[in-house]
Amino acid sequence: MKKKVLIADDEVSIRRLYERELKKEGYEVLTAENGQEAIQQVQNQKPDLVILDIRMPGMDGIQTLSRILEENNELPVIISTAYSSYKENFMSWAADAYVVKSSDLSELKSTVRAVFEQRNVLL
Amino acid sequence: MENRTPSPFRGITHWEFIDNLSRTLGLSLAITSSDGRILWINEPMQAEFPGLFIPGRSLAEALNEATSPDTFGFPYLLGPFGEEMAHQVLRGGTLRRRVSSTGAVKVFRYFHFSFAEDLNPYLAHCLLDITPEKQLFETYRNNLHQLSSMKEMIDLLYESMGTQVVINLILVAVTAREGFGFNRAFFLEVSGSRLRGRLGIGPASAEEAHRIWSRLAQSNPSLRETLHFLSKAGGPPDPATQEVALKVDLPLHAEGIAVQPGGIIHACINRKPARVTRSSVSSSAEQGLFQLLGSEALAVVPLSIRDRLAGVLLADNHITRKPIAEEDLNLLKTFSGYAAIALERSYLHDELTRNLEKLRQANRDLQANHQKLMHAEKLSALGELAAYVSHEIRNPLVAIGGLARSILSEGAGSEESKEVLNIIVSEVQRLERFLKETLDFVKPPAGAFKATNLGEVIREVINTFRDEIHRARIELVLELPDQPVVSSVDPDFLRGALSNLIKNAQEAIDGSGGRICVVLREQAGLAEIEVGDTGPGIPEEIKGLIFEPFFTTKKDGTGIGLAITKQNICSLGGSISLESRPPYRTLFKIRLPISNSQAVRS
Repeated sequence: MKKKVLIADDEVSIRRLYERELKKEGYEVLTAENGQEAIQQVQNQKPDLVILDIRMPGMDGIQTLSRILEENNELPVIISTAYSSYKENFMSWAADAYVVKSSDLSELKSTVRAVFEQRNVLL
Repeated sequence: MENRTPSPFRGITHWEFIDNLSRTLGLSLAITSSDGRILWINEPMQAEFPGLFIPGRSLAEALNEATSPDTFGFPYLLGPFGEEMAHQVLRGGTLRRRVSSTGAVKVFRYFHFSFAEDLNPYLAHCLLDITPEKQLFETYRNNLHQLSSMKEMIDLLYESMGTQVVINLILVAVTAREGFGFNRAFFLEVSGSRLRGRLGIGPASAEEAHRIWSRLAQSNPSLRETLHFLSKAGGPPDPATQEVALKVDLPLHAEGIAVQPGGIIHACINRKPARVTRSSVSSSAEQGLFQLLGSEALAVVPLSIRDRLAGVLLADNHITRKPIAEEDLNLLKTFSGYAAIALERSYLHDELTRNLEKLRQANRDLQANHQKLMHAEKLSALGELAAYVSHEIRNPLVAIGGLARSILSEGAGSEESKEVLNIIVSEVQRLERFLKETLDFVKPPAGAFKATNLGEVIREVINTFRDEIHRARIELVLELPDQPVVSSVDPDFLRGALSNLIKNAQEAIDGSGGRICVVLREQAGLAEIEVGDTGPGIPEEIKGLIFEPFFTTKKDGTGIGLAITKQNICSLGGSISLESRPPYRTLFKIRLPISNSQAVRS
């Protein structure tokens, strides 16, 4: 069965790019354009992994992350952001990985794979 | 009948009268004819100058053989009173001095008058001994002179501030001819319960004394001049004596031993000046001191303030062996009171100066910290801006580049469209790299350090500017060494830094024609890169600011160029400074560590 990946990012072009590339990787892709939507998707669609942008209007990524973890603290979350400085924020330690956005998606893809592999080993 | 009062001395001849009177007065008298031939002398003349004033001899000749002219010696120095005194003593006569075979000096008032006897003209020549008056006069003059010297010394003490200067002055006053005229003087300072030598002046040997004193006799300097000379010369004026001074170390309180009266320590403890002779001291420490100094007698003058001992002055005449007079000691005592006050004040002054310097240093540290803080604040503000810009630009770039890659990876389309997509991918990559390098500059580079031939990097950067510089009719002077200079750096960082500097140089010249120099050299184990321009230069008042983030003089400048450049160079382990070397009013100098070039060549 295909793994479900939820992409939460306020920019449509980024959602579109990630969706396209992750589908090629063989995942089923869900999208959310803000924090609220992301939490609803987590509740309703039960994704296997969340890729979360940190800077979104309304509820930001860090808040969203804590709500998601309240919902399901087993759910792997990858923070994907244009900021390189958020790494120091202790809240983001709660995430499984931290990827700085790049037009080269190979890092993101390999991180997604690695997180799934790690989870499989644990389960 | 004669109208004159009859003489009361009936029956006495003129000769007898004159003889009796002059003998009673102790007046040496000679009667001469009008042409100056001695006719007769009285008994005192014979006794005072035996065999010199002989009847028949010329009086002038005899007088010159017996005596020589003398003066009161600068009575004008003493003002109107001195003149009056000299006038009173002389009363129209002149001064003559006689030095006897034993060396004793007598001073005479010489005067003469004419008289007639039986219509024959005669001259009476008188020599009156005024040695006591002259001595009195000289004592008075000397005292006045001492007073004025004392006043000058005290004035100088009041003008002096630092301890070293004050101690110097005290010793100069004690030894100078215009002061107390001792051969040598030492200052001992109180250090715990000991007296330790701090300064000594005066000649160490008779030869040195001769050399110094004959030189001083020629120039005859005032106290002030001597001091000025010493302070300009720097260091102790008499190194040999200073060496002796530094060896002085005397316990103020010898344990279990009663302080011997008449000794040095006794004088110090009682705060009373004293003459101490070598034979009068019995303690081994004090005998040792006499041995060390090589003196027979010392003037010991404690300098004390409100009963607290501030230091001790020692003075002696080890060369001339002149005894220390009671009067000298009294004068020294007077002087020591003022000296002690000046010394105490100088201690306070020195302490104040030290505290002031500490405060200044604290203030400087504070300012430096403040500046660092300001810099850090600016950097953090810049960091926030960088993060914002980075986010806003990066997202679209990720989309553009990512989608182009996505299409490329599907392998569809013509060769030409693949080529175009590749251009998009690589340009986006370039932009992303730029963002990372410039806007993430608060972080050190990832560490893509590699051995880099600096000359090559400089050439590459210059090549990108060559056309532009040529169009602006700017002359470019490139000086590269024959041997490659290799440094371990991130070449992209260096490229960015150099581009920025050359761009700035070009803008500084502003198309008006001028020169830009780019120089690479090895200097003291470092690689030096200079980028200079003949533009108007950077005003003095902003030189300290140009590396500050957000500081700019350009209308559309961001003020981050030089800040980034500096950050880049620092992260490469180098430094950058602003200098100037004519004709280059602005010259940036980058210094980078040099790598082991052997390793790089192989």
